[in-house]
Amino acid sequence: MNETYSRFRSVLSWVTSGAFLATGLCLIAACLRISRLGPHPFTPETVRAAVRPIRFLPAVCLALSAAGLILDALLPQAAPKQKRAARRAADQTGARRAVLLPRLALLGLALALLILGVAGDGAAGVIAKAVNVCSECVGLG
Amino acid sequence: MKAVKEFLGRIRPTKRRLSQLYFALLFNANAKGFVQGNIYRGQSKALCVPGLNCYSCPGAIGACPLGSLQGAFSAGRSTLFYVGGILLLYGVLLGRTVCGWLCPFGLIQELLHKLPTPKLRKNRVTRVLSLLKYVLLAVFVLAIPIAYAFRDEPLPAFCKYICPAGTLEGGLGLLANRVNESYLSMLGPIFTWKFLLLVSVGVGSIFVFRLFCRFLCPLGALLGLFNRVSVFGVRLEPASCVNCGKCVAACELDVRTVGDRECVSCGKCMACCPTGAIRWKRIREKAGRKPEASADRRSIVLRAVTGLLALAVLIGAFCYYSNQEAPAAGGSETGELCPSVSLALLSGGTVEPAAGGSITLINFWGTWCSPCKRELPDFDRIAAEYEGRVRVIAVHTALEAENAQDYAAEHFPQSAILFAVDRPSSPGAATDAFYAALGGRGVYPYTVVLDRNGRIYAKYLSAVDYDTLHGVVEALLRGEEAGPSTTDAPTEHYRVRVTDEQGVPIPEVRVQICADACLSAKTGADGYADFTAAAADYHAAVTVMPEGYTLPTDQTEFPFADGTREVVIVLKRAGDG
Repeated sequence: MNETYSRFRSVLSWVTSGAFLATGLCLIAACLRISRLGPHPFTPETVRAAVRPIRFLPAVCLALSAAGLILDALLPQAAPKQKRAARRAADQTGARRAVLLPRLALLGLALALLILGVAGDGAAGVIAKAVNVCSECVGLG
Repeated sequence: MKAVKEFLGRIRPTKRRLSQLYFALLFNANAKGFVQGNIYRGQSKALCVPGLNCYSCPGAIGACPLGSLQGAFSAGRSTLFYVGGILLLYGVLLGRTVCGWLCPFGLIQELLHKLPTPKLRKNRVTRVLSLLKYVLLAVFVLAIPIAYAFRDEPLPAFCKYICPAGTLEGGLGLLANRVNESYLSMLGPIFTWKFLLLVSVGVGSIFVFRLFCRFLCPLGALLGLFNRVSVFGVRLEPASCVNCGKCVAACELDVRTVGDRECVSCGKCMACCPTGAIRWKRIREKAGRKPEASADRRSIVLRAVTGLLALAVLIGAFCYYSNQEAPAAGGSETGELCPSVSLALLSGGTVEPAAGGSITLINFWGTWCSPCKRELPDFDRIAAEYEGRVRVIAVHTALEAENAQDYAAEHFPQSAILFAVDRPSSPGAATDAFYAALGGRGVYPYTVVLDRNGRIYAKYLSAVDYDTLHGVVEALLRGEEAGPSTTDAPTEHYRVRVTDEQGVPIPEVRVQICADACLSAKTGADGYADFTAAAADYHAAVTVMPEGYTLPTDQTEFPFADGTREVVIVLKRAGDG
């Protein structure tokens, strides 16, 4: 029973996180649609027209994630995950390998991005912003 | 004596606190910036530091990773790769260890939390609130900057509307210095909002442990995603764990398991684990290794060497940055003559902002600067309305100047604005020298208005709108000349005549008169160039030699004789004797 409940909590957690992510993606999509409207000033009508095709999706995702959060807060906590981890203790080498592979892959990706960035003089874009006072960033502008 | 020892034992900083302090000092090693009230402008600013440390802080020697990421969306693919690579590298290597051990803003919050007041412990509400930082990451760091990048208008939304580290380190750090008094004129509703947010975070941190890091920090949210795979950090040995839950209970953050996305690897859980199941991650596991006396000795030596090396690096950094050349302080003030320079136009040719003859608006801008781009249409409107009477020169910073031409061609193809670049006119000269000479202190946009005599009439830090520009131009057209010093200081009329050896006047010759500053003008049909300037010991010179002429001798500067206000420069035809 405990295990089933624990699984349910795990699924709930994934659904909530997924819904949050989907909300974020919807917002990005909405921003992209608005950005294609043309120059300022936007009118409420044009903005509404731009986001109309996706207007339900973020609301549904947000509602789903909110429901997940509320459930998460109301329901009792599942048994600590350490228990499940302890079950895997017998195969620690496998677990370490499971971490090692994504670690190496991400490290490789990071280095590849860095090399591409440096080769394309990407640092210039950073320095241009960093050597001048960003009046917006510090709240002055 | 025992009481003193006990007290010293109580206040003895932990390794983590020392690390936080060390990196806070290292990331802000440009101590000179705090004294002089300006920011560091060297090459190390290209590197993002691991931690939330505003790059507009006078002491900052590196860039803020979050600010850089937001800027990278509109700066091009290479910059995005570069910043993305750095962030990914920090994530994979350190994860949220950055938050616990390196971040200066985390240190400030932890110190505030040390104040002896009732504390709010973690609970279900704080656990839910800890997800808020992911929303901020998605909306303010990704969605809005990306959307605005598509509009070719950089907007660092998180920095602009939320970041309290920017307000504290950058805003207050700059405003604290009296030389930046002029920045006070830039304060508006955004600063009020950000200041209130900073105060709220500060006060909240007294009662809630690491309030900003737990609920609001997008950098922590981003790095937390890598906690499971990060090279450094804490990990749980499942085989030794007895599931007592003491680790999670002792942790002041909203962790559910050791090393999850909320864990900042502070190591507090290690002390309370009854079975020692929580350890630092090791790249290579050495199973079954037992502590030996020699290992202890090695450890002490290693610690001493590491400490000395770290201290040497810190002292070296302070020395290095204190010896860096500071941007020229001061610059021309209102009422003074504009320095004479020749700037390269993007369309080819040159322009001399100080030439005089017409009212001149000089706008310093950058393609990476969102407020600059927003105000350019207002300058375009002024240039069109007052064409022939007002010159508008948009001077792009020397950095990223290659983007300026495309931007100008795309957005202002028929504009009367003269787009120029503030490049060094001679090898080895400082970049953005004209900007500095006019009193620019690293804030963009910056606008300087010159009257007909090339005198500085007004300066505007930050963005100006059409009404302001229109007002100042109208005032100048009505004949209100520049500033108090024009009315206080006596002015004289100076004339420079250029002729050939037969005394025939040579028109259209660019000449200048210089004392502390230079004024430039072209000769008319009668060979005269007229100047109205404060009384001083001027000397005249030909700036651009007319075609087919040359100076008869090596003399290039022609002083005004005592008591006279006129000088004649005689040129000879090239090739004559």
